[in-house]
Amino acid sequence: MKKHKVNLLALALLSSVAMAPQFAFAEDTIKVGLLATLEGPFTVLGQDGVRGAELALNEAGYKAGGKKIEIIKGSSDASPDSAVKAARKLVEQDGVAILIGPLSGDEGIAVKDYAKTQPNVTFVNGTSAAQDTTLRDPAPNFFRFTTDGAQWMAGLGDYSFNVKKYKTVAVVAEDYSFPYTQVFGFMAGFCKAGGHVPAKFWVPIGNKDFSSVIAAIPDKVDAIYVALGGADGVNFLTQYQQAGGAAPLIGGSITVDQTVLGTKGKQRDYVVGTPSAGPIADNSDDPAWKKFVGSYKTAYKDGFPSPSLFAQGYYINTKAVLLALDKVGGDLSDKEVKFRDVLANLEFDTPTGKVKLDKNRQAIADNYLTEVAKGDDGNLYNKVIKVMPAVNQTLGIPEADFLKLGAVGRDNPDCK
Amino acid sequence: MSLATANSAPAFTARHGWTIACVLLGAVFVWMLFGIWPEWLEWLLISKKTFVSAILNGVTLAGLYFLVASGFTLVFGLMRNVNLAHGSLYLIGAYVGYDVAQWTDNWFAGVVAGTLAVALIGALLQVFVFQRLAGDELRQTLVTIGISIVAADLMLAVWGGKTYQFTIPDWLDGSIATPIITAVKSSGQIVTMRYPLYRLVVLAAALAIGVGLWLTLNKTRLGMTIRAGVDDRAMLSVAGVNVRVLFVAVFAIGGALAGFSGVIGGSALSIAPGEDVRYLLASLVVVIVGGMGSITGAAIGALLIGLAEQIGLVYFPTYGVVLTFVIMVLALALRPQGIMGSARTRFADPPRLEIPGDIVTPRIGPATLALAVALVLFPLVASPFLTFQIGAQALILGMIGLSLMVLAGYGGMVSLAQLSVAGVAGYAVAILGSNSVNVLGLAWPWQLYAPAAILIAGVASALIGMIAVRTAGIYTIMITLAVSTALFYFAQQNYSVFNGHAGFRGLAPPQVFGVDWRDPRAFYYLTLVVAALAYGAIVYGARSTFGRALMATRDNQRRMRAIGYDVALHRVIAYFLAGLIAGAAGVLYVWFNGRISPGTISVGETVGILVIAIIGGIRHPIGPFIGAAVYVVLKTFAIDLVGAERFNTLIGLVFLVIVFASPDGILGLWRRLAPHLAVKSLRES
Repeated sequence: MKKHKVNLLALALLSSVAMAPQFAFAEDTIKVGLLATLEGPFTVLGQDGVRGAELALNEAGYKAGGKKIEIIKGSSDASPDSAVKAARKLVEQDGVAILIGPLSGDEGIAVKDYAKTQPNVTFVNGTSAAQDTTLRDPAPNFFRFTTDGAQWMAGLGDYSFNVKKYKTVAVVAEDYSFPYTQVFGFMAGFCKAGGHVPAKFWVPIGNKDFSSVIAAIPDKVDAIYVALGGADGVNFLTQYQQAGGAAPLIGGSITVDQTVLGTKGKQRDYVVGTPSAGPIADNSDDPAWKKFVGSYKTAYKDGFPSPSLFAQGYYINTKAVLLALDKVGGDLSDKEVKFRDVLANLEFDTPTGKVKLDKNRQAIADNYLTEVAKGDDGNLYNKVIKVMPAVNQTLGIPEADFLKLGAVGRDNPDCK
Repeated sequence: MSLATANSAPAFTARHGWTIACVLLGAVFVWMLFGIWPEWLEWLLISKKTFVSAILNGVTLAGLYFLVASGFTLVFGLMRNVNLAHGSLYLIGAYVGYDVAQWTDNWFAGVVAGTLAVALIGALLQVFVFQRLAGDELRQTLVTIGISIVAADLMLAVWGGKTYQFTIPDWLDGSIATPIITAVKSSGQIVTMRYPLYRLVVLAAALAIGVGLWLTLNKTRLGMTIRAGVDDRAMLSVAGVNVRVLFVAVFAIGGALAGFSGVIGGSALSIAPGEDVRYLLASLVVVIVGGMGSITGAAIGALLIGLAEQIGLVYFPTYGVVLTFVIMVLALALRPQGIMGSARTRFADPPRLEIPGDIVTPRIGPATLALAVALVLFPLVASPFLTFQIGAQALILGMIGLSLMVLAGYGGMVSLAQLSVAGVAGYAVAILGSNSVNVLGLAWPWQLYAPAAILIAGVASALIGMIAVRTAGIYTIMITLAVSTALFYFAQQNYSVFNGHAGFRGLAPPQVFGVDWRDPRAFYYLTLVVAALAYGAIVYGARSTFGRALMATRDNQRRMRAIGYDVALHRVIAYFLAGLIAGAAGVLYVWFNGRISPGTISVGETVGILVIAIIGGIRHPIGPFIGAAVYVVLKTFAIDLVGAERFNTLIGLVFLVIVFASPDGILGLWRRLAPHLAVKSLRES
């Protein structure tokens, strides 16, 4: 195999003599492409996504429907261009029958567009969570067994207003589509409950210094909704604490996850009591989740302390592929029609509850409302407050009304 | 200083006016800090707390920028070496410092370790890399680009993509009370502002280092030697100073400053991949604004940029990031050598780019024809995927590389903005033609939007050229890099025209003559024809009067000026023509991708184009196409060879080997090896 590839490279280098790709896979092997961000700023997240997919494959012994599953990895740097180039290579050069991925929102939309040009290949999402991958202008061969960024916020707005009694909230979030979607999901519930958002601060991507933004947050707000991930989340929390900030926080899905809670520093004491919501809860009591965490920890000593939502997302989507392949006995000979039919009607138990698809092939799944708590050992964790059952993409709003709300953006929605 | 002596007339002069204005402004500023604000001012500037903390944050951030930029400017001042790996040194210092601080449980040990480790790396770089390329500024700069590509990838491999945060000692942490009154409550109670202590520590460190550097440079023997070296290296060497040792020392100091600021800055914010590029760009802008090689200039530049960044973040967050670059362009327009840069460095000793080897006047010979035949036959033997993804993409990127090659090879101007120019054409296609995101999309037919996009790209290139020709040599690299970064940020932040981070989708080539030009073969031939036209135009242009004149301005611009040529005009026209080629490639590129977003024109991709041109060779217009073919093949198949996460190491190493072994690229390698191979095969027969 290695030699073949080196040859291929040499030939392509010569460029005048190039060989056709060899679709020489045996009858009993199904090629599956696995696309994740294995380079660039999201590398660690992509690696965790791959771990999730591998967990599902290991459980099945890399077999489904009586056939061997051959995984071919593709890598992007989180830019949509690179995702499409990698997808194109997996589909057109490596000849995969099914592609699992990508990881991030804009990538997802780009791959969905590409899926339309490859009607004979089935695309299953990784963890990309943009609404429009499935909501508007969906591709008939793109399936998403994970929820989107707005669904991840289900229950949080209502909880913040009615239980936490926050009437006015300021928003601090990064200036691109994923946080727009999260803010949209939060405000959908919060504004409906009667809350107000007098000020939103969209911070440019890559900004690490939030201290001036912190000073500009109005003193009169009851809480601050923060949708910043990883490094930015930690920076914000540290700087807010340093500036002597007093307002309580509300977290986006990746603002107070394990990577942030595990970071040392004084911001730790400060975030206790921060409500948040997302597709996973680190400390869920669900035996299925505990089993998943157990096998993750056993298999990956160098992984995160607990599987991230990227591992969970890739796991669920890979699982769906394997289950559907089992049901059709590995038969993809009919241009994958039967396989897709099974996928569309698949309903199965995941470590995070039941999942099924809507008519746009978008997941309807449970969502977790959590709150940061301090464990007996002094470590911080996300305590499950409530499981929001079977959250659909329109957050319970009739689809026509939901579409009328328009695409997410800096100024949509708005409830000053 | 020279201004002060020149204007020593006793009467009231413009200078007195400026002084009074400055004093008045200063008084207003002091009042704004310590006085109690009337309501209208609170309304205008959000709140006093907001304004004052933006100013304080700007000043403290400036301290950090100064720390990073001072090492950069010091090395440049003496060695004319633009160390584009300076950001990598910053990040390495931060990582090493973090590991040591964790290991010893002592933050100060981390500071010392980060500083010393990078000082050592700096010295080693000088001994083993830069000394070998002495006097060849372009290659030194290119090597630093290669190093930064490889270093970033290796750091990612070692430290992962995680975010690290230092634990600073308790007595440096927390906030302290300031005498600044932010509000008076109705009860008459005065609310004063609290400010994070550590940020003030950063500022204090910057001041201490700044004063220390100034004293070293101005009051010590070492400083005197360094300054002498800045003025005249050769003379200093003749005077008996061991210049080589001096250079190693300066590089070590520059490295130490980078490592020190890595730990200090990493403690103020956090350490994560990508910080290297951020601080490199910050250093670039700071020293361009402040003046290359001047410590005082770095301080002024850092202050301007730090304040602009923080004030922009609060008062106009959408375009705040662009503000920094606007300041830079303004500074260049008014004072190309920078605020404190001496005119000397610009005019008496313009940093010249030695384009390695002779520039060959290309001719259409048997080799060209054979290559043409091979390229025409390629789709017949290659799969649709190879035809499209490898063939067409290599031709497109090759054309953008060609645009760079023309400016660099014939004009002596290495412009890193050519991908941005292609991006301008791409965006024009999305805006003037049709797209699927419901933003603009004027639905012009392709006969209109394609030529318009190419023309717009040409004009954009000419405008960039008008800024860039005010500088020379390696300055051009820095300024065009900064301009292209500004364009990237602008496209990312603007939604009404550029649709922000998501960009445009649904951009397909038209169906003309009943042919679907999105079909791999059709599209390949389309790009081949356009590339051939561009290539032909360059072959013709290189022999034309204009081409000859351009090359002459590259070789001796003062003589050309003396003869009566308008050097700047020739160069701007060259930018325009190169822009047309990049524009044509840009139109093809959006058709190829079917989309365009800021990621298409990011800094990484911009550097990729330089890599393409250098790998292939910038002596001959065929070079960039060869480079593009290698680049695209490696990029596509790296994941099968070494795992994709190491593509950057791979391409970076190829780049470094080429820069070291064959400054004129693969073409030059071939030219040098071919005779030996021929002889060998003769002997064998």
